[in-house]
Amino acid sequence: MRPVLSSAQGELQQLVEASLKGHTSSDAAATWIVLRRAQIPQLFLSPQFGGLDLGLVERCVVLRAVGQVGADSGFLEQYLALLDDDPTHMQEAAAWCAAATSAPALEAKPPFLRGGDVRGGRGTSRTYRAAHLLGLADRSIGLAVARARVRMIGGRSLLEHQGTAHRLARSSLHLHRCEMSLWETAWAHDSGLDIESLSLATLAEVVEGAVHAARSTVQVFGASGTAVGAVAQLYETIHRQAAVCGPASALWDASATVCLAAGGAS
Amino acid sequence: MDFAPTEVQRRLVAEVDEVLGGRPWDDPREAFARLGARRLLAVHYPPALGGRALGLADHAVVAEHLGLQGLPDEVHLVTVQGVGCTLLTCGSLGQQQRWLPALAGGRVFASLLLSERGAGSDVTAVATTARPTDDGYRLNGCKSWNLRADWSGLGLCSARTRESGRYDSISLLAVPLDSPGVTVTPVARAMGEPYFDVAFDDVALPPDAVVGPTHRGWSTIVRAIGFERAGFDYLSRAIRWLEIVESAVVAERAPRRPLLQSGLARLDRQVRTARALAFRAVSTATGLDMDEVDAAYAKLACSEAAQNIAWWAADNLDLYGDPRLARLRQAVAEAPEFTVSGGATELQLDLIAGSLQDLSFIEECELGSPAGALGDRVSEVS
Repeated sequence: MRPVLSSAQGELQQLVEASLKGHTSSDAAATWIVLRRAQIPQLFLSPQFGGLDLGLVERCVVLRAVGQVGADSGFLEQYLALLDDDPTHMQEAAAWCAAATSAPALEAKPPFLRGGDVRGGRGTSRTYRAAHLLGLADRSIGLAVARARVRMIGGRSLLEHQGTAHRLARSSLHLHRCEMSLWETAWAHDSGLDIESLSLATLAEVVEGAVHAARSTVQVFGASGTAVGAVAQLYETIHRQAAVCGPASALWDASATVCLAAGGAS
Repeated sequence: MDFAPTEVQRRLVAEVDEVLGGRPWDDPREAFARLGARRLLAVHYPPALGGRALGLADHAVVAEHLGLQGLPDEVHLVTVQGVGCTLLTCGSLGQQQRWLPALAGGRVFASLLLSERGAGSDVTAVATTARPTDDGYRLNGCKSWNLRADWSGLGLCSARTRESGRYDSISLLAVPLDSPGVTVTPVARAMGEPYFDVAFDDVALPPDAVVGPTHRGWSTIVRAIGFERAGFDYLSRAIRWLEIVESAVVAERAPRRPLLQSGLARLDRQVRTARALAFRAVSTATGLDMDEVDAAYAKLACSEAAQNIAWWAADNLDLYGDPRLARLRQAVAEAPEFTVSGGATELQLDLIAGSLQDLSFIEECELGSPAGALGDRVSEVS
């Protein structure tokens, strides 16, 4: 067992992070354009269409990075889900990726992204949601740490006070556990294993971890946390997305039902 | 990225199973000796010292499997990791050749003798002394809170070797526990197996007893503690207890079972993610040294997963009415210790909190638009 990104996966992570550096829009279309300029969507095409046929682990790497800059991953998730759902979209996607080389064309919404519900495999779609939500949670803790480093109380930074330090460490532990769960699910999928129960449990874990992170961040900011746009907006976004994913309690229950029906957890 | 064992690791587990033969061992020390004879207890040691020159992750797979077979893996952990790896990385050639083949062979067990009464988790509050003499040292003092020290033939003991500051007067000494003047006394506990006090009454040690630098052993102690911190000993308990809990939940009928099964799913995930964090820590180690923050995440996750299973069982299952759950009653008694021993939870949280300064996207948060604006707006609100 080696639950760490491979060097190639690490390179992809750096590429996505570099392409998103400075990207501040939370708009899904704007984020898609940035990723398109970096030719990220092409990587997910099959080799016959000039892509690398990257797996779920790599897709999660990208989606998490999108979440970490606070951007909306809606278009990207739809794109990936459509590739999962129907291989005929691969040709359409490849043609669009090849044609859209000029800046004006990049502004156009890809024709195969029609909005509405994602129709892809349920396990993979759930994992996409989990990856992006984990990225948002990472961002939330990043904001909290940035605040705790500079906020001085009694001559010491807030981060040096054990109450705040341990609160953030707890959140970080929760998110590290979420990360392991995410990688395990994505790896299991890429290894040809069924991820129905695992993806439900991972999404439940991430929903709880993200909500905990968002609440901790507001607490660290104090009264200003309810007034500062970046913090309040992230708090609201995470709660809204957590609700869309389904209450964690329902996800846990569904995961257990599927798992026990299949023969047990251990 | 891989969540499955390698072929080498599969073969190691098969070898362990072959040696253990699937039967309970009245004296686990006999099982350890047989495993040691096959070079299975310290596969990451050099061949000349009883190992197979494999990686730390390979050793972790074996260690985890020993625990799952019911062997007292905390003894193995302290002997091979806490003491053995300290000798391997900081000891002299003579110390290595004297002790490591015996430790790897399962013929000698060892204890890390750091804690003292009244000092709690503060290993710098050392009152034990090793006074230099013409022919070595004279050791006096008492070490407490040691598990299974009655099995140990070797202790790595912290002691003050000179009158000086809090940190720069401590040395780590290899002490044969059959030396004249050593007394090992059990201290019964209401919860869990007994601890042992190890007392030293003017114990004579040779000049080469010091492991690592004399007087400046603090860094050696920190390293020694780090070697045993991935949390695998808690993990093996967690996995075994989870199996019992799962059987109990599956045996329940409506309307109880639906109420319990989501709790089971949570516990299962806690254990699996803790295991992944533990393997992350050993997979990313530099040689034998794990990153202390990775190890802190692993230790915290593993110890709390095991603890949560015991306490969830106490809160939700009929531990005192169902004889099949007797093992979980014992688990409830053992559980409090998990977040105290091997580096208390608070210490791990301190380590993690200290590392948060390095979050890679913090700079962007501060300088980029959303959080760059953040600073100004916080000032206004504050």
